[in-house]
Amino acid sequence: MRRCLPSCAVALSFFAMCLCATARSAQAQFTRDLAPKFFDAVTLVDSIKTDSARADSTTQASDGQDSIAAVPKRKVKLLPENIYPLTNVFWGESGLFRGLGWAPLTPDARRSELDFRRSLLSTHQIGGFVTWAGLVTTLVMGQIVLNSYNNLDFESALRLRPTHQTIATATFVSYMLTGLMSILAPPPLIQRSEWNTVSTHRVLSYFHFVGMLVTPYLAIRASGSRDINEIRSLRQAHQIAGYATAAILSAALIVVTF
Amino acid sequence: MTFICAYISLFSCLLLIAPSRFAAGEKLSALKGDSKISYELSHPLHKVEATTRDFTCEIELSESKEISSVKFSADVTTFDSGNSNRDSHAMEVIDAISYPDVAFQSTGISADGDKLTVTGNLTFHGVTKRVSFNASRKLVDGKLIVEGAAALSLTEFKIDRPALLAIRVDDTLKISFVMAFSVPRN
Repeated sequence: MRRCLPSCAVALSFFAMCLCATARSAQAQFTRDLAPKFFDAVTLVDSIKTDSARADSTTQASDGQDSIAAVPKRKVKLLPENIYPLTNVFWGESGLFRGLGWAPLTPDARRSELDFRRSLLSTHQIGGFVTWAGLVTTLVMGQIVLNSYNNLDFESALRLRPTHQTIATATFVSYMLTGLMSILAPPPLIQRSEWNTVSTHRVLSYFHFVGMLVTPYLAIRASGSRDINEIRSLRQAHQIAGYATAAILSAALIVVTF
Repeated sequence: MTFICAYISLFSCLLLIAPSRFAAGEKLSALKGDSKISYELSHPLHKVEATTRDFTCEIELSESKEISSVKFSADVTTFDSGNSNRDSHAMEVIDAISYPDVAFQSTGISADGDKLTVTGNLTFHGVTKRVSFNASRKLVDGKLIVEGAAALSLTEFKIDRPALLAIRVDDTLKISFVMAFSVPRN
């Protein structure tokens, strides 16, 4: 446990930095974009007029045509028709954050939410790559430890095992925090009922989540066992689970780039 | 002789009738099922194309039966690229909550046969710019089909270009459209 603490601290520090950056960016965006804005059917047209007035005078319309007046006065739907059940619990029309008054369902607040969502998802993206790199390193270290055991080189195995455990713990913490950012992200503006790359990414996440729980569980079981045959089979299962989790996580990372 | 006179009269009548199918000063609205407008964005990893059929487009015909004006308006949230997550990101980038519509109003249309050059004011992301683009028109099965394309600069419309894996999309937003209008039979 003592060995795990530094890795936890490193992972937590990384995410604390990411969250600080996220919060700073959201605050900056709020100050820059949201504070001066008012939104209702009338001010929408006003803001369009203001923005069009500041447009480049050389390309600005000058013949008095009614293109601005042609923009209908209406409001946009603030929440998508389809919303994930867990997201709905927090951010739905009568979700927890709405009920607590933390996130009123107004255009200004919703715009701020979308900025927050983008910051969370950007951090989630970085966290995903960090976690993947950590997982691959853990796999390499784990394989070296396993080879040492199989070659009866217990000295090397016992020397390298703590490093494997430390990196594994850091990867686990990084994984959970990365996942949390996606789970807690506010809903997008549009979410149609369709199958897309994000749907695949999401389904794959259920599998690598199970893998991320099963893999350390098998390692803990193996460490606690005194039966050599059980230890060997648990180690093998731990190895397979580790490789499978890394493969699924890699697929989940790749699929979102399509 | 009588036959030739009758033939000339009939031919003259047809010549008169054909152009009058476009009633002067008449406004025609685009047919939703047959009309569409798309945008295309390029990224080193992707080429994204999103389309909508949910918009209003109205043309006005002049005394000389030419298209004299065009008025267009669309809800930006209706553009569908087949990936709502990507579309939602696009809506964040163009601040669809504040600016839910894109609108175009022509200021001048010049025709050279079936080729048209359209100039007008495009309001997008709260910014109005004068744009000019080429289009073509044809009559197919009693429908007037107008097709065209335009290229816009995201930066000119004060849009912060979205990025995927820290790589930003191209600045050029390519617009293409097909508008179909039912020609009145009179």
